Amino acid sequence: MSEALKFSHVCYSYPSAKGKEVLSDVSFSIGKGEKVALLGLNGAGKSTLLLHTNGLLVPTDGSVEVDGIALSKKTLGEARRRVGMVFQNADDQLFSPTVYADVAFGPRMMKLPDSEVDKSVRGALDAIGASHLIDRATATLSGGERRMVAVATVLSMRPSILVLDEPTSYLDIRARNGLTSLLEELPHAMLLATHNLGLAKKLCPRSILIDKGRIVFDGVTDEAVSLLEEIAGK
Amino acid sequence: MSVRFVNPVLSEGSATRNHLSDIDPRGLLLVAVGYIVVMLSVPVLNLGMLIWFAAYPVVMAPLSHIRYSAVLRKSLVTLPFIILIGAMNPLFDRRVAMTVCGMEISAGWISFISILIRGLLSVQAALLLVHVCGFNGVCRAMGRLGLPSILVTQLMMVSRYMQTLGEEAMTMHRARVARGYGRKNYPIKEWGPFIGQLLLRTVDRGERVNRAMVARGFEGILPPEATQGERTNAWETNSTVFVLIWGGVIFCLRYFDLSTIFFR
Repeated sequence: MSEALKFSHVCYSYPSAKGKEVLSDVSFSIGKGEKVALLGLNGAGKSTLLLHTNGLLVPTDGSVEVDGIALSKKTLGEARRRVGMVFQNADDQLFSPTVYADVAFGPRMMKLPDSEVDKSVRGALDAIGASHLIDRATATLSGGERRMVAVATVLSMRPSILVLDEPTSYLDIRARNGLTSLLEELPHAMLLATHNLGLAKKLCPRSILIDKGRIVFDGVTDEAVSLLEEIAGK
Repeated sequence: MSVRFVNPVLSEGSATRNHLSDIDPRGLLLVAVGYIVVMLSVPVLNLGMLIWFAAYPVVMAPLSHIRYSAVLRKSLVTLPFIILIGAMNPLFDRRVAMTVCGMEISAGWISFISILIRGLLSVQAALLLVHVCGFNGVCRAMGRLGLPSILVTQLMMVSRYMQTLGEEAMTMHRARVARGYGRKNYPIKEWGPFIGQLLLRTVDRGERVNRAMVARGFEGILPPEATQGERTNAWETNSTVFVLIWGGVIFCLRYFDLSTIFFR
């Protein structure tokens, strides 16, 4: 299986943290079409790790590759097209007045012609079963709809890997089930940071467990969940 | 979940088609800017000429499928600021400008009223423009008229930032009310921390939004093309006719004192 995402010995410390590492020697890879959960307690470094996947943060040491392309200033644009990042708070993700405008934002940034933009937008909304929302104002969407549209905003860029930060937070059971089914059906590789262990078990055969910035386990999700519960109980 | 600050009427662009829907936003922008500039150039003490300029919002409101009273009500929100601008005039300029029923009215009072009318009419013209085109539509029209894209992007970002500020203020206000034990007013000593916290939260939120934009390829300039839901009309004959008619009307209002003609 070729790699959609590869971290090699990635270290990172925030400039304000005076050298204290938030990520230490993080190495893993995700194959094309593989769905992997990223588990860990609050403050373990999950979100920081996710921000490295498309160059929003640059490692202080080590390297990140997307589809075999090493992240650098030159390759940033291409990497961002290939990594569809869905943030934890859909309110942050949806910044345009209408659903169409928001889903079209990425393709427009890729400088696609209007007809292609239109095709991408309709295709993405169709894929998540939300074509009926196309003309809605983003401010009027429900929490579940907002989350679905947030996924569409990255699908319209036709990414090879989806990176999702807490995709089911704030969602009621119906919206959660809808989103889970959607993510199950999508053929993309996925890295999914979540506290929802049920979702991790259902969606991802493999999990990476991170604690204090280090990967402490990389393997079968059931074992990762048991280990996480052990860490949480300490 | 954070509370969303839903944009009030007159700020997002009319969702329904109206008589002005086929006019190029550039035409609407040119007329609105021309109207404001010409109206502001009316001599400050000539209230008789100034008052006729109210014809623009009064006529444009029904054409935009909105009641003029709604536009007027909305524009009154800015009244305190306009009053602040002209409040000193009656104090400093005490020359007698006219006598009504034996009562002398100073030039200061006339200029104060003139500032009020100008301010309100300018705001109404801007509100109607945004109502018809949407704020982003107006920005893009500016871009199509040659304003540098970096400035257009800045304007759109400022609009978005104001929205974020509103959302965060609403969230904080609700959180405070929920634990305020029925106390409605904010003690003065709470205002400093409230505003400070509001700005910090907004900057933080702004950074997160920016991050979401950068993750989708944003590099500092928003795409110049309009997107669905925004008006994209090409310049056609109706736009030319619209600009010419309003240009003529505005010219007449400015160079022919209708009050003198009708009430000689």
